[in-house]
Amino acid sequence: MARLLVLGAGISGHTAALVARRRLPAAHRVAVVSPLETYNWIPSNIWVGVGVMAPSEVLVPLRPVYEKTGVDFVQGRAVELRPDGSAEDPAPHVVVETPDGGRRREPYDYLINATGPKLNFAATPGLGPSGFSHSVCTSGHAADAARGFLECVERLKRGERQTLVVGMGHGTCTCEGAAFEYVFNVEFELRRHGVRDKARLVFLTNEAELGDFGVDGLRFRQGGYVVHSRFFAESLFAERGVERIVGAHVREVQKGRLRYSTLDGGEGELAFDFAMLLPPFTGVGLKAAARDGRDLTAELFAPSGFMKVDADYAPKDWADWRAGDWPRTYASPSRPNLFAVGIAFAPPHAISRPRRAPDGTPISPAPPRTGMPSAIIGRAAALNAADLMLGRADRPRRTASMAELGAACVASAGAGWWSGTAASMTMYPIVPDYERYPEFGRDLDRTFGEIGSAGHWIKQILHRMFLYKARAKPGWWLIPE
Amino acid sequence: MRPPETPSSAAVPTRATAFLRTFVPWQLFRFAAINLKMIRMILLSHRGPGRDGPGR
Ligand SMILES: Cc1cc2nc3c(=O)[nH]c(=O)nc-3n(C[C@H](O)[C@H](O)[C@H](O)COP(=O)(O)OP(=O)(O)OC[C@H]3O[C@@H](n4cnc5c(N)ncnc54)[C@H](O)[C@@H]3O)c2cc1C
Repeated sequence: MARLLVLGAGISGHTAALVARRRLPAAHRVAVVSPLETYNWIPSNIWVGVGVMAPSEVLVPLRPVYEKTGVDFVQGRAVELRPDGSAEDPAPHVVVETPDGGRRREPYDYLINATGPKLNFAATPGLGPSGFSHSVCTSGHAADAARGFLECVERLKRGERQTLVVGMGHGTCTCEGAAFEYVFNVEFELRRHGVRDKARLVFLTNEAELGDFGVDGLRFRQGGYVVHSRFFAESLFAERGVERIVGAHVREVQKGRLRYSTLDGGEGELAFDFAMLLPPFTGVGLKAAARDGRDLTAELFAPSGFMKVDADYAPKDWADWRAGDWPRTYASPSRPNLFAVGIAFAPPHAISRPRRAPDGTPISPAPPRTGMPSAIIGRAAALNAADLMLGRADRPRRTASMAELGAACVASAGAGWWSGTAASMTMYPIVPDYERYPEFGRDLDRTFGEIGSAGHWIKQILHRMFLYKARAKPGWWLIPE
Repeated sequence: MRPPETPSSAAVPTRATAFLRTFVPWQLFRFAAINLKMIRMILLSHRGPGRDGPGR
């Protein structure tokens, strides 16, 4: 009997736990440690954040799912990995802080770290729900954002003019696609409430140009040309009358005002009545120690707090980045029974070209790890761990490199069955590979984008399908990641 | 007539393009087409080049 322990019950961890449970005979244990009792389908937080969906519609209680499927659930926050055990317990384990403030040891034979990001609001003074801006990163944050937004709508209805700013709260943020979705949902809702004409809507982003999305932009075939995603993004901003500030790093958020600097060395201030600014991400701050107590954190984790896996972390210039730098099996190079998946693994470098302002401030997107690759990576790690536990392999053999995976993304631009639209995109591969595709880094036959109601319908179907899957309802495993 | 003071250089959709974005019969067709593209992408990403030798 062996025990697989999964840290985190988000998109990658929940997928990994359910896949491993289905693959392994009952004699083997699968356990999940997570601080919250619910799973959050984060992509739909965008709709919670404009008040068109209730938080309960994006949450799934975990206990019934795990009881039904035979996964052990431990509510708590992992704080320390002891890969070689400790003085009290020689077996590998994780120290978990429980909600009552206690500590317990959770043993493992194989460990999948799927703890996602720490929302690092502290990187920018005044950023975030305990400061002066909103977020939609959790369902609770999104519900607060909806309240703030609807208050703004009420003021607009009374005839007051309002400025709403949406975007990235720091120069090194990721998830530009989520801010893009939110700004167009806000714009759509302002129109639906009949107050668009009184609202100034500003998108502030760390992307050097619109449509970068942290993946160095996409190129599509369109009208006999190969065009950059900037073309589509700018078109949508012009059409919907959304102002934009690009290449920006927010220095400080104050009540109703923010200060930012830009890639060209400019400085600016923006007064606002409502702000939704995403935070930068770091790892959740797991520590690691050897049996004798020696600190192993720097061996297992990158300085960003994300876990090192089988990537090439040698510092390289942008021109020397290779698709092969990206991890394939997500196993830790120092402990073969450790994996990190989803946002929790340390990427070797960015995907977008790194840029700095004249004063050296980095202003460029960190690499996104969106839902589809996060889940596929979670699945690959689960199957690798299962193969090792069952003695079917002597090393991880299933691979899921982001330089070999594609992604299908649907970015909502307004929620309404007949009037709503969304941008549907596919890209292959996620990380451009200029050795395989020398011209543009991606396969133009598999990279496309278009806007329309069809995208919104697909987004609605995905919402229902992935919640069905998260609840592990009959046939859940037939739904691909 | 004078042109608008700051004409944007961004491409804007023609009236027909904007209309088609929410024209249900056309969008039903696009729904099928986009689903096919996405399913192809999902199959490709699940199938690999994804596996490194025997042992599956
Ligand atoms: C607003 C928003 C919208 C998005 N929209 C889309 C979209 O439309 N499409 C898309 O593909 N992607 C989207 N994404 C990205 C997507 O949400 C992420 O790719 C995905 O959530 C990553 O999965 P994960 O499992 O790595 O992390 P998460 O889903 O964040 O899960 C992390 C889990 O770890 C738990 N955890 C944290 N700390 C600990 C600890 N110390 N110990 C144990 N457990 C811990 C958390 O509680 C959580 O359960 C969006 C992201 C945001 C913020």
